[in-house]
Amino acid sequence: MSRLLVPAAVVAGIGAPFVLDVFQIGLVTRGLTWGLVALSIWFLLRLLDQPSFGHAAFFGTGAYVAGLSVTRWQQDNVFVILALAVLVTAVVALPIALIASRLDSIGFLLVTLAFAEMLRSLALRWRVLGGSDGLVGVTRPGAGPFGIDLTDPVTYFYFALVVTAACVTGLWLVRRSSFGGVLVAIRESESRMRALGYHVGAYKVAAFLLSAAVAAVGGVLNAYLVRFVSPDDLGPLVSARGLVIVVVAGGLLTATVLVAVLLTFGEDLASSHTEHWLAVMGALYVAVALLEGIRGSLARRPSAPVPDPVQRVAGEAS
Amino acid sequence: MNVLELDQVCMQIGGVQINRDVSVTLRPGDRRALVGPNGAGKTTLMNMAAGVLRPTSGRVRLGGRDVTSMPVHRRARRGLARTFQITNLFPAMTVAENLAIALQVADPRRLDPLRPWSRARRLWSRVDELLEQSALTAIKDTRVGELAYGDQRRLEIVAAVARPCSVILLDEPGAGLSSEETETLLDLVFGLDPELAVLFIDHDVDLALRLATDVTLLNLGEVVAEGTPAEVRAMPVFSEIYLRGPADARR
Repeated sequence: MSRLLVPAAVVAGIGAPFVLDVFQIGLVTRGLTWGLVALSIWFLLRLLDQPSFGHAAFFGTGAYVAGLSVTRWQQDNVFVILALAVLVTAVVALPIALIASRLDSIGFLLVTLAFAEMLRSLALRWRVLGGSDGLVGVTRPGAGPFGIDLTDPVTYFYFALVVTAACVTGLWLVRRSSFGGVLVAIRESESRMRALGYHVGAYKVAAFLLSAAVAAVGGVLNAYLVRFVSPDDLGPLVSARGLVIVVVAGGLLTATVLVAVLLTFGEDLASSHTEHWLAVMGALYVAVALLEGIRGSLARRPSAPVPDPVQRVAGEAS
Repeated sequence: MNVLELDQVCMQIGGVQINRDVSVTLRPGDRRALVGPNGAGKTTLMNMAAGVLRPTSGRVRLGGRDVTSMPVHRRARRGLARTFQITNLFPAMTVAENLAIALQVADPRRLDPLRPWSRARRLWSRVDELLEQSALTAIKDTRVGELAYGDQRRLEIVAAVARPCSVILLDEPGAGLSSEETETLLDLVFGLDPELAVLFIDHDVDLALRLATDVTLLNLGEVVAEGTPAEVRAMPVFSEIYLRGPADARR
């Protein structure tokens, strides 16, 4: 099933502009940016059992760097901006990583949330960042030497698709690497990893920075999609949505992006039929969390293998 | 030269003195048992040797170098291996993967986030060698969480000494094992590199005395006797502790 998911996602991605209108293509692109937030959360949750509720901090940082780059810094190369966003996000994420990585799951969740709220509070008051108005007039930059016109919605969709695919592939490779193996082993037993000679803290910080970088890329793509950056990009709803997508996707890498796109469509569909669409989506999330929780409970039977952290989080949520 | 030296170490937590002026030395090839009743401070001493706890006073030296303030992972890289009182492996991973994790700590390419783990050929061939040497090949693909407890204990020791080390700390290696599994464990420990120093705790005093070349008897946080197993067993304090109880022995 999961093997078919990748080619199906590739075909669906490439073929989308041929069957969808411009508005719907915008929705898919939006779904991809949510997918990147979810992927960044998935990485920490799946490999290290760390549930972040503060990845909006990095999504928002990426978005603000994207906005400032074109409105204040006259930068017109999206690749330079992406690199800059990753760099600035790493600087922002480092102190959070150094503190949060020492904590257990609940402490990690609370500290990441607290830092994201601190950054949102800063963005609301700092005039350089536009205060509560955010950054307006965010235009799409050029694509450097490739001469691609990102102002075209379909071209921008393909650009976002390629960037998302690169992030998915990168995280897939990391999960399969020696480094990924070490992260899983740290998840299983930190004390044993220390006793074997691993600097557990350094690995956890490195994983956190990598995860933050993916969220920042999502923030950059989102800023140029909606052409606006708001302090809400640093808000808890961004992190909550990312976490929900991970749970709904059942911890599968490619499914995380697909679920993000489908939920974006679902939200649009629900909002066009009822003003209570948030309640509808909330009920859907609870139903999925319940189902995942039941799956997680079954996986925790003594004879079954160790439960997946994503199932465990869903189980606790339900 | 001493491979491990605990020099006059003390540990006080709150107002409670857990260990007082304890000195223990290990030379290459020593197998020293730390024995004593519950509350004697054996596990605390082991944790100070491993770097989990920092002594309130006294020094810890590894290979002659002062490592008192050195964290656990750096001591491990300097040749200190350990196992835990409760088996501490990676239950969701296979036996082979557990050994690979133990072996690759010295491999600089472990940090390469894009090198597939499965293609680290030199690592996996070393894992296969180790599996064969320790008669674990038949269970190499079994998840550790599904292994019998005795096999887990065995794997933990094999993984701990998979990379070069000069001393191993075994915390209750015989706990929870059947008599048959205990014999297998003894064979494994006796079959370790003869130059490897072993410091271990076990509540089963008979097992500890069989395994050890030297014994340190602790009571209420202090060393009360030292010597060969036969010498310590013959001391009156040994009988007092194990027949009358630790408090009586102190009087």
